[in-house]
Amino acid sequence: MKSVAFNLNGSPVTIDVEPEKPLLWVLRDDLGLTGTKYGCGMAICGCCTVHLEGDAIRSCVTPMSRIEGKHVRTIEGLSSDLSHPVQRAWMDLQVPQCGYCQPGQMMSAACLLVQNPNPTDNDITDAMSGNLCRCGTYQRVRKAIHHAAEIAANKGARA
Amino acid sequence: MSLEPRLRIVHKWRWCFLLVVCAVTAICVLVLGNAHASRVVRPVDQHGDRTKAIEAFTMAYSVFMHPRCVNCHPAGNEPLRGEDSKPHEGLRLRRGIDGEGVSPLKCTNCHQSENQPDHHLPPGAPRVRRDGSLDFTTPRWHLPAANTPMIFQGRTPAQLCRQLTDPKQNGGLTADQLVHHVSSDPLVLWGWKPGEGRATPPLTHDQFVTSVREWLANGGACPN
Amino acid sequence: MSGEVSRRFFLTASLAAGGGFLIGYSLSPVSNLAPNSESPLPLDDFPLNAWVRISSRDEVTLISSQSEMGQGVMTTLPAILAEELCADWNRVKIEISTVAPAYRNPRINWQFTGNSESTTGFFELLRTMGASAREMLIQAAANRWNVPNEECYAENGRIVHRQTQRTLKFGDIAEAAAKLTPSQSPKLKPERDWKLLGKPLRRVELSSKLNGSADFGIDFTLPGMLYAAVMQSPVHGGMVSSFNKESVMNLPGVIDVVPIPNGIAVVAKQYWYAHQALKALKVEFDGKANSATSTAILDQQYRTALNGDKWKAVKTEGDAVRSNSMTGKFPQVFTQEYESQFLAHATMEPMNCTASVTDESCTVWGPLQGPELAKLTLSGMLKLPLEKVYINRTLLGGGFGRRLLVDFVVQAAIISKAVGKPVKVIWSREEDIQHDVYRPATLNQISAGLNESGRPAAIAHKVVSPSILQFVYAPAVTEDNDPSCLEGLMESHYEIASQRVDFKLLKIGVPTSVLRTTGYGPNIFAVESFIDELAFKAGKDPYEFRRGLLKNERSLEVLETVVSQSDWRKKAARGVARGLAYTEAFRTHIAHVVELSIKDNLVTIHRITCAVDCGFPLDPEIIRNSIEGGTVWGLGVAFKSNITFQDGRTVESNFHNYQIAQMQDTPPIDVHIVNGSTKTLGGTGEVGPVTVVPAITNAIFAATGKRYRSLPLSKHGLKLASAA
Repeated sequence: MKSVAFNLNGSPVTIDVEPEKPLLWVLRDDLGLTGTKYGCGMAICGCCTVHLEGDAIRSCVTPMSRIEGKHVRTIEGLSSDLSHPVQRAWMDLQVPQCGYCQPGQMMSAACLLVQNPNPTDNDITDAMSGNLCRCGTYQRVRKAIHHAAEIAANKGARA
Repeated sequence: MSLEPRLRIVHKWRWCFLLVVCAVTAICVLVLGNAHASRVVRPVDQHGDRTKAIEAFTMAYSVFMHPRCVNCHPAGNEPLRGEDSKPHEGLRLRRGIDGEGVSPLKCTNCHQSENQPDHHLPPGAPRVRRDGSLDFTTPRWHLPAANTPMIFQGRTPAQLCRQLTDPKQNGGLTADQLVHHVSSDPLVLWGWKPGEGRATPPLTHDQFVTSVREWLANGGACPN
Repeated sequence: MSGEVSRRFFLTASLAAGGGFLIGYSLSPVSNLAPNSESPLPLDDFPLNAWVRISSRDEVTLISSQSEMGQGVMTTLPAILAEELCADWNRVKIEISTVAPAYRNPRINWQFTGNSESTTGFFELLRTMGASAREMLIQAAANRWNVPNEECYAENGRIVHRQTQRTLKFGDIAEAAAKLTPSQSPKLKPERDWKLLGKPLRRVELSSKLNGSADFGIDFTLPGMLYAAVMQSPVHGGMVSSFNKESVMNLPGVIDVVPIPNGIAVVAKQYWYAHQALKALKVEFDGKANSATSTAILDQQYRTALNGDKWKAVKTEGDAVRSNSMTGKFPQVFTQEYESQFLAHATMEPMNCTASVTDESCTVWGPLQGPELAKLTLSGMLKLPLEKVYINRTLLGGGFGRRLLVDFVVQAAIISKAVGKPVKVIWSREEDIQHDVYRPATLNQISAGLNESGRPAAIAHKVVSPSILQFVYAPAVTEDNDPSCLEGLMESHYEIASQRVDFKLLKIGVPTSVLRTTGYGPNIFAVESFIDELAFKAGKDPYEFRRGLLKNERSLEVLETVVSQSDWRKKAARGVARGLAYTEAFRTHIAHVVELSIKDNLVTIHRITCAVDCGFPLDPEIIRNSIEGGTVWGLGVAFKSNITFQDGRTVESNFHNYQIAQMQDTPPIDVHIVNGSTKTLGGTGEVGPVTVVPAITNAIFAATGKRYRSLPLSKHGLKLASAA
């Protein structure tokens, strides 16, 4: 067991944990943040995507030893009031169906828009190729990313 | 010693100085005149050593062309995986300017600092600290940067050899640095501890390093 | 599904008829689903009937009987209630019902969500219930004001007296209204006055799905809850022969090791510890029974069945098909075979369930489609009276039919009982795919007797399939018949004078069940491919040929719509080809046009157009979403998804080898809704994939002259090229 201190959605957290325990299960079961989902356990489906120092990592394969001293942001921390451009776009276009994969979709999209505020369709396909959706909302996800880019540009804020 | 006395010495011996400079320049021109040779090559008798160099390179080539190396030295703009060196199925990955991938699918978004126990999980390697120690809390996994892609895939021995010894294509590596890369870089070492379900190269790591050394020590000559 | 429920299947239920207390959990449009344990209602909350409850604080709670798995029923069905009730939609709370006779689908008197019949099943009932509650409120207000009922009307959560414009909030009269006797035939609100239905409504659970607060079964927690990871016999039908509990009891977090019917569970304080320990557990399985089953052997079994006799003639219409053969009766007889593959559900949320079992009761929380089956099964298994078994439903991260079964529910109950604590069972993705209950493969043979111009005058189907309904609705399945396997064949809009269907119900060594599209999927793949082949033989355009066989106005309109909204009539660019398919499935008329190019076995889909008539579109945006998503699902079925077997085991285990449609596979998809009537409502949840699959193979034929009759196309070396 190791004491891991990190920043979670803007607040400091310290937890005693096995260094090899995946971040996903610490978030869900130790810290009660169940917005980040388990979908495959092998970094394929993207349901477990969170931000680590701004990068969209797959928390199901990321050990806690990597988290020490770093900033983690989960879907719960994207905003406090659904105001993040990605959330607003997802709301406007009513993207989710069952909704299980959508936190991962949104976290990947949010990360894309920071690096690439005006992505092409090709950029979007590349970026989202690792987020699976069994309900088939891909067309709407794509449109929502374009819409989020517009929202962010109009706000003058970064996505 | 103050600058002025040194300048007086140079001035007194300037003709000798110039003669030596010209001689050295002439030798260098002779040596570097061969388009295939590079900065890494030491001027030695090329014939017998050339054979040794090429033999050694040919041994090393079998490792360079193994999937464990080729997969991160691809010809295209995306990383490869598997024994058949294919793109990551289902993912559209890109090299990115610095070789570290493009958000949100950068290499270390999946690859960690160590292998995970299952051949379907991404393998990993640690970062190296400035002091040379390994940092297992932070992964380092990437392709060569876009402007020096260091392509192995599809290279003939002649092509690969020339590329490895051309400072414009090898990222400015000296012979020593090249030897250091193949002997100590965690990403190279990983090739011999790649995790479950992945084959290791046809030479041991020691044999590989020795063959690279042999090749360079014998002039770094390239096959035709 | 057809036929009356067989009463002998059910234990006698002693539940109160509708109007009893309603237990469930609350959801407001921007808040969480918070499951409650069973408890009496607050004294100031008044049920007007099983579906509508109003408190004296003017909170209107509408009950949703159907499970929400992305198809939007938790929005659209309560909207029907709200419309008739004239409630203020922006203030209503939605609550998921418990298991009670009031919430059974009226068609078969059974409580479940599936078969695309939530809307069709409940539309009339909910209108009646909403209207009835409205009339009770009006009566109560009229009584309070001492005026005639006719002078009052309901609007936006209030009752208004027309003459004086006095108003009363619903909450002011709820208690009085609840004491009144509801009318048996209340007056329904005219459709022209609808404010909600027919308009796109924001899904009630949308916000919670955007900020991580939506609770799926896998997210549910209780104080003191333990977690279980399960390993089921790798060989289908096998059992544990031995296990060594001590091999894991010292591992971190491990509490116990508990046998389950077909495997073993490790119980721990968190899922990850259970999962890690399970990897270390020493366990042996006895899988002798089915260990020889493989795809090759199953193929043989299907082939032998198709070539054999002993068919069950389930439909014989018209003289030409009275005997087994059409030979000699027509200028030409054309016969073809088509094959659809085994599929896995692979819901994004893997199977899971939470159970808390004591000597007196069993309470379950989970993502269930079949809560009544769960209740009956647990009652019987635990020997508890029905009224002591409580079923709570969370949101579902996808269902597609898998969660109609109750195997994962039973596991949670067994484990909870064994350890004496609440337990949440979570299946790893590997368990989820390897122990899915698969969409069975189907082998179809179609023969048509053609007249001189190539028009079919007789059609005969032979269908070989294992059971679809066996585990989810046993009353419909007999020794040699399962009606779901025949969907799409027993009734067809194609005007073909003689029609015959012969069926062989196969018993195989791997478990099969309902999966999105059920029998329609494979059967319509066969039919729409076959019709296309006939069109080609007759030298006719696939659209014109179909038009010539159809008289039904709705069929013709949907077909005309998809043709005119796509580029069907325009000359295709070089290398571009189009394919078409039409059917009625789940009471909805649907047609797809797929436009593609193909080079070196790489298929680029340029565009997909769809026309759908599901009757009056109660929520056009939810419908559009549903059909788009179904179309994408169909891309996976057509090109990639395949379950295979070897040595009695499923080969595929995760998304790397069970492949589904992804963003890069998705071309632009246009869905056009053909407006219909509320009298002809149809389902949309599983109709999207049905016609897109044959439209794809028809387009590939148009492009190459090669006809692919078995799926997925990856078997033939075809691959989908990446979209933009």
